[in-house]
Amino acid sequence: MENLITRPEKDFFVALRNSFVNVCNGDLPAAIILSILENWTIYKIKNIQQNKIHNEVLKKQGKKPVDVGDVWIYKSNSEFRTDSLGFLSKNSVISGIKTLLDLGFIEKRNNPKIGWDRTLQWKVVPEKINKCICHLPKQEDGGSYLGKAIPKNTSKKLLKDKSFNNNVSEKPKETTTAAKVDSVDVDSVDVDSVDVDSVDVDTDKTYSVDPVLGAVDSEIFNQILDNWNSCIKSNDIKGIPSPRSLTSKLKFDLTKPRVTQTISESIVNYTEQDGNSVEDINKAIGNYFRVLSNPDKYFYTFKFQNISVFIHSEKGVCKFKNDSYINTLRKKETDNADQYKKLRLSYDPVFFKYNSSNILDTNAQTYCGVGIGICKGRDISRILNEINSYVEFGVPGELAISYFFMLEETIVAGLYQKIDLDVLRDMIETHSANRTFHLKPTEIL
Amino acid sequence: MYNLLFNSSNDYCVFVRESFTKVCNGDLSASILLSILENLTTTFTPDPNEIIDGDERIWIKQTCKEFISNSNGMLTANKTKSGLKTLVELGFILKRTHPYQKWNRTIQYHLLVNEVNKHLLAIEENE
Repeated sequence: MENLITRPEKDFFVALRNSFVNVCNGDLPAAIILSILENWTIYKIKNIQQNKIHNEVLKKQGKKPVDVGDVWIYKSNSEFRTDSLGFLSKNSVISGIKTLLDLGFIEKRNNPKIGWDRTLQWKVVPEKINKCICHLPKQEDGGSYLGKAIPKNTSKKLLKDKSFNNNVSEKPKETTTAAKVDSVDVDSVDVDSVDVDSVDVDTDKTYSVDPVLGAVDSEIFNQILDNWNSCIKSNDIKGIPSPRSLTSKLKFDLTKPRVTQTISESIVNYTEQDGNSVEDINKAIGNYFRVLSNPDKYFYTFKFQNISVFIHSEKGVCKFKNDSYINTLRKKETDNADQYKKLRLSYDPVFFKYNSSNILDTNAQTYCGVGIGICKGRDISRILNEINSYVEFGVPGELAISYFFMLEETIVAGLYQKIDLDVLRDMIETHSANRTFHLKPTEIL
Repeated sequence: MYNLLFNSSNDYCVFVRESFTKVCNGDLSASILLSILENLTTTFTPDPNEIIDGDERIWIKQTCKEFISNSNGMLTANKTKSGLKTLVELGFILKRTHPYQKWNRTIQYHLLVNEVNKHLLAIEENE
């Protein structure tokens, strides 16, 4: 472009690209720092290339080659401020760098050679940034992205156009994003490598194709939406809406009720974070509806307003993708105290008879007829092992009197110590199975 | 320029030039506005309704919101106002309202390129 105003030689400048602001989630200092780091990285790359050429010359001359260098940028906070021409303050540099590190756009390290050097070094991760930039909504007018995530009319127009689906599959290389990625030579960007023709698209289903995502991603995202809707339908859950399309704009953050986001945007935002995948969302949806449809088993009854809130919320996909979290939601078997009481009542001792109106006899220092000392100090697991080994090798169905005696003591100790209910039930079952062998003849009659 | 990161042709870019900042006496907002106005002047397409006979100057119609949007969020409303004030005081831009539509309150700006260039040359010579 022709310049109206003359440029002095070596005029330093900061270029703030709109796409940088968007990939940094509107964080201006982060975008400026990214721009600065990009320029320095380019400078470094050129230096490396120059050094390599220089080394070849030195090699021919039989001289020792010089260090080619690397792309790590040594830059302090004040240098960032100087490079931003005073636009950034000390704190904004810190916050901007934090944002970039959180987003995974840059890496940091200390000086590898000089241990005492506290100035950090930075490296741009172009693969990740390029991937995010490619996922940005395409702009038609070249204006600002701020405040307009996906142009309304664009998507609707394209969706109404019935030939759009065919166009996508027939002319995949015409999509502007793919064509532009070619020219940048970014190996890691997978937009270009996706062959739309080779993907088996279920022709029976009429998926809505998000014009920004393209057909392939739209299909995967539509499966998530289908999963959500089918779970609502099959479990007959009321109060949660079933959106029809990926382009449905929904509230995603309950703290910002006026801000909306399409479902596809929510999914993209989620998957862009480290360690998150589309499978996680599907798994979380399955788990969530399993919990919601079983109010008898789980105490969790909260209904998310919509799928976007579920994806965005910290208590949504993030929690429900973990099976361990589901276990924490499981209802505990009614009231444990009642359970122990029931077991105690079902237990009918042969040797340790007790007065049911005075279970804890303070005078005799007994609990259910067994001494308190035994109840407190009995190593239940050891006794159980002994009894079990006897049951295994002894006469089936008949427990020796000494072991039976021990079993009764252990059951009472278990009741006293409130051990695991299942273990206690097993013991009482064994007891009742062997009880008749140890009853006195008069008692049997 | 070789680009490390993906560069879309639709991508809008704002430049903050060191020379512009110097020429605007260190006023960062004014330098950003100067950069925006230069860009808009270069890509200007005249509106036939606004042409005054004998006046061939390029007048850029731009609201405060548009300046903020064009600055990619680097400017705020107050910064824009103060930056424009600096540019007017330095004599780098002229202001006017619509020549025919009196009800049209959007201010138009004309960039005095020669004036800016003069100052830039003076700074360069001093250095």
